[in-house]
Amino acid sequence: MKPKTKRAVEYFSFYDHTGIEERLEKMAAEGWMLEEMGPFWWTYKPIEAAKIRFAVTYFSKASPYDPAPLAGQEELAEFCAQSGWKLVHSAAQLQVFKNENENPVPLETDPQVQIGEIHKSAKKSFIPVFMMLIALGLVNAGTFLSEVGNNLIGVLATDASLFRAAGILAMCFLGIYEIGGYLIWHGRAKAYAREGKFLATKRNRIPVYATIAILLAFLALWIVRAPNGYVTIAIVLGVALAAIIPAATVMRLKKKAGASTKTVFIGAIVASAVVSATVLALLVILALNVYKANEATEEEMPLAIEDLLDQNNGSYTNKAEKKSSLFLDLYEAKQWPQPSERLPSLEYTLILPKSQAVYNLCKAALLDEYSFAYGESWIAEDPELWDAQEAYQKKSNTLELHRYVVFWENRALQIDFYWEPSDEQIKATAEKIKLWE
Amino acid sequence: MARPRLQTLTEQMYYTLLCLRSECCGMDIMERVRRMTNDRVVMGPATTYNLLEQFLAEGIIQETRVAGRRRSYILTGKGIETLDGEYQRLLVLVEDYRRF
Repeated sequence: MKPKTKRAVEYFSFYDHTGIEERLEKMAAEGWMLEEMGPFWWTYKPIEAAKIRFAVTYFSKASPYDPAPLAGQEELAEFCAQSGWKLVHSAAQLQVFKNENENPVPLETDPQVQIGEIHKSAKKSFIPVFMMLIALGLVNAGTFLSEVGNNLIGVLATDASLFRAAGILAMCFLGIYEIGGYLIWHGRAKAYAREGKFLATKRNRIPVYATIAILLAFLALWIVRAPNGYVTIAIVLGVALAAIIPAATVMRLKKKAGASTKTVFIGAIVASAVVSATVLALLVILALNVYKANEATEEEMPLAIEDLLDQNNGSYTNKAEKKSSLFLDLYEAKQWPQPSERLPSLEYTLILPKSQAVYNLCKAALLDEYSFAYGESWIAEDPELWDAQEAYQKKSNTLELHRYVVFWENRALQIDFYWEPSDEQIKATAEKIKLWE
Repeated sequence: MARPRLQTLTEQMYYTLLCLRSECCGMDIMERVRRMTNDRVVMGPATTYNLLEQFLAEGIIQETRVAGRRRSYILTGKGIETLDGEYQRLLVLVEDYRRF
């Protein structure tokens, strides 16, 4: 027995009326009639399989926030009904009609008029949306590249960076693919129209599906490999809710009696703001809890201040975080005393790159750090003391620093001793760090 | 260089304007054009609707009567000029054909 409804995720470019028409004709031939084009999926209802002609036309004055068809839309539907075209569904500017006659009069008979209406509609919705997507992609690319410049190791330490990079590329690619594709079609269609010919719009959807599949693969990789998987899932759910709730609000408000385009639009804005603020607040709370959960005992840490100095254990607060990505493992630790106690602190980052290329990148990033700061520079030290391949100490004209960067065959360490370490303490540090897996 | 809008009329535009030399309901234009041209020119309903909206926006036609959703139109002075301009253009084409 056939199910009562069928939902399918369908992606078509806004102007791809030919693709939409062919898809709906195929579905009707298989016994499914379009019921609704929702924001996330299309809904079909079962019918007797039939050969039905579909045609999509554009009504530029409509908006996705209209609670009811505009007077002009109803007039258009009446014009079409006169030629046997019945309105199946109206999704903002897209008007879907069907005709069960064998050879109906086409809905559009003048390509110039059709292109004009598509272009008016595109300028109002499709082009601004994808321009915003490109802008968002570029802004994100700017912040991402700035992070790569300032904290390359931090970026490499999480698989979220891969997802972020993929997301940025996807946003820019989809924006350019859609707008570029449209502009090319529009230019060619106008040339065709001058000769009185129509140009089909059927678009290749594979690049879009492939982009989404790659993005989902990176998302899955991030979720599966993240040490705090629940945080990642919470972020993904939060972002999904921030998209779903405003869309659901619009659908609900549109069905409410007496709603106007303005109230639906304002409702969508308010819902977006409330959901975004709530999701952001929850994520901040979650992040703070994760930060609290990073408290570590000295036994768990590769190196603790107690291994180097004879200190009372209870005096120190320990924070430690282990990160792991496809590129490297990273362990960041910090130990500091109570504010009232005059005791030294210890802070270090241990990096275990997973390939020579990443090792080289990390090395360059570590030695580049603050190299621009006035009066500070890395001075090569004798690596023998560290039993390492290379060792450097940061020298400053104004401050007394005990910051070291040390490179072994398969790991690197950046460490800040907040006291002047003795040779024995350096040897003990090296022993501990080399042994840690 | 972009061509000024409606400088050259398409066949559909031309016959729509021809219909509207006398008052006519929008929905009747499709049938009238079909009869005028012995089925040679067929007007699609979406094309007819959008053309009328475009002509209204350009001030080429004006609304004369509204009965429910049935609106009637007639050419304005600008519309008459546009149609006449197109007729003159076509005459030049025919004349050129004859001469060469």
